[in-house]
Amino acid sequence: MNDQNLQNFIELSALLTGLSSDHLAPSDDPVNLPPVFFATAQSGMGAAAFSNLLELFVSLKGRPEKEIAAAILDRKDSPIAQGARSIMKLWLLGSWYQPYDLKDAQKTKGDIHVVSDQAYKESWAWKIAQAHPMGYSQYHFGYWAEQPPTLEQFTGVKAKEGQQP
Amino acid sequence: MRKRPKHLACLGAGFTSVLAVAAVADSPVLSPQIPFDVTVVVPPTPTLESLQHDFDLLSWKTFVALNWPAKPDGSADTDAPIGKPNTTTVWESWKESYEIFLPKGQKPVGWHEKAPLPAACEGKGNLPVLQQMGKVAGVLDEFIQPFKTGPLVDQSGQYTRNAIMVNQPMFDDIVNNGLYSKEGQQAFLGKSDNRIAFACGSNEDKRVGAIMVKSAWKVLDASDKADEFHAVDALVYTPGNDDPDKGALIPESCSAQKVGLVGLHIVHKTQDAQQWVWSTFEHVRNVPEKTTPMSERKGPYLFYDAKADRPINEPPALPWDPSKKAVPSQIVREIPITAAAQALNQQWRGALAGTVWANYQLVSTQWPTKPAKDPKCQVPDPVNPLGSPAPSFLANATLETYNQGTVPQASSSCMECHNNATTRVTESPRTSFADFTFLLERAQSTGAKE
Ligand code: HEC
Repeated sequence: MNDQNLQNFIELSALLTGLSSDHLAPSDDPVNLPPVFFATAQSGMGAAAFSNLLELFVSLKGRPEKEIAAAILDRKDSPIAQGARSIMKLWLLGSWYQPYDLKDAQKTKGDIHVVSDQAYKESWAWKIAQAHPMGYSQYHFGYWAEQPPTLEQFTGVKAKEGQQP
Repeated sequence: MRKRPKHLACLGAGFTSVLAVAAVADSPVLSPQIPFDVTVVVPPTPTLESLQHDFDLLSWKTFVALNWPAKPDGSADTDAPIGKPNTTTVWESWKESYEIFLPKGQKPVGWHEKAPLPAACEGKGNLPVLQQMGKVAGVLDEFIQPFKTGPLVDQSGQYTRNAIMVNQPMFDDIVNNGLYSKEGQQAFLGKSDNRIAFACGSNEDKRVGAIMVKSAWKVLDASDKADEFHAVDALVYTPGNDDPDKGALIPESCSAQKVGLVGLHIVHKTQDAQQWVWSTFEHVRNVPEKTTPMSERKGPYLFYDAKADRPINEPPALPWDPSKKAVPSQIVREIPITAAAQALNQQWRGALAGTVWANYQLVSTQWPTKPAKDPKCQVPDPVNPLGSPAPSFLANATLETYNQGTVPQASSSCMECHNNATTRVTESPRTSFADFTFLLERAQSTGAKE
């Protein structure tokens, strides 16, 4: 993994999740999950498929987001599309969902593993739900009686009309 | 490359004027001036490592300033050099927790007045009082239970003791807001705009913020070289226990003993670290690191015996009775001191050579990488109140002995644990976050009807 590959992975992840690169990979981050997720996706997809995905993404950079998404996700059965879906879940849930069999690496489609305690704790589904992980909260005593911060405060993404702010 | 978040840009920009000075700050300057806040040196943009260095430097400067000899009024004696023997240091002239949170929630005496000693210590001399052993103080029992805890026993079988001191800005915030009693806290929080928030230090205003210090001491005996320690005569106070459900039955006692400093937490709330700066120091001979090869564990250590075959980092067997000799603790440091901190330690210990302070080292400094940004240091960040601490875990081998490590929720992170601190008030209108200090949980009730 070099810096450029990692950077591409982060940008790809931003596109797939709708969260900005700054949110996924903040600077001066003592937890520093991006390299961990990079390595998880690489070994889960297999190095060749993973590198195909990144190359495809790089070749499309600058195009409209919809176009990039279609190129990556539309061929639903391809390792690229399936791997990309697992990468979304990885950021959202902190777990790796094995997308297909990888016999050499003894990985079986459907296997799930929590990447690490920090990956669980920092995963994005909780923030998108404007909540906190089960079993871990950094909120102060009594927070449950108060209105949670807005979706935008948590994720940088504005709530749509009709959604809880 | 990744974009820098705005707050760091601001952090850096605010400090351009000191860059030139800070760049040559590599040779330590021993000064009695307590730093007001961190000084960020930007080469060319700050990184996690460079900021850690900036905070570690803040820790050392603060350590030196707080350990400066004090004049009788408690201010630094700028005519005396640091390490001058037989002097009281600046932080030792501050107020201990027992002087602030009095029986029946009485009002503490003024900053410059001497508070009465615990009854059992009266007539035994005008000496500092050491009391708690480990995180086992009564009111905190329940909270602490999930954590492995217990007293730390030295090689002679004696329990180490602690003291908690606060500086005047923190004392004033407690007293002026009536937070020293349960009813006072209730009244304060009864006003809906009020929140517990201590004063913060600021480079801009040249102001020192609230500082709290927790120290760990061992009783010195014939096996110790007293001149290797910051040593003082102290009253070692053991609160009695006559309730068998709460542990061993022990009589209240208080005796004058010579004790040596083995651990020191220094915690300062500042503008750029509103979740406070968490510095922790230890005596260099405390313990080996987990990674120190057996053949190099020469010591002799204060809390580890290379020849003993005892389980590592286990609290003593119950019941805990400080009046009896106990089996010595067998402690190692779980997370080794980083190479960068070791290099800094070498410089500062070098500058302090010839004083007892050269025998102490910085373990590390924990600080918020995403600090709250309230100009008045009152309002926490709603989404990230903890502020993403770096490093994620930090422990002092003498104070967080039994929960060192790197497991979220279980291992020692100063900020994570102190983020749970609340006031003593438990009924309506509300229990409240206590701005990272457990001190307010010590407040007693005046017994007045509400
Ligand atoms: C597992 C929880 C926990 C962790 C981790 C922890 N502390 Fe504390 N700390 C406490 C408790 C409880 C008290 C009060 C009771 C006592 O001192 O025994 C306390 C007291 C203190 C005090 C005295 C002021 C106060 O709030 O009462 C300071 C200063 C302090 N700790 C600093 C630190 C530093 C620095 C670290 C990290 C190196 C740290 N603590 C880690 C629980 C913790």
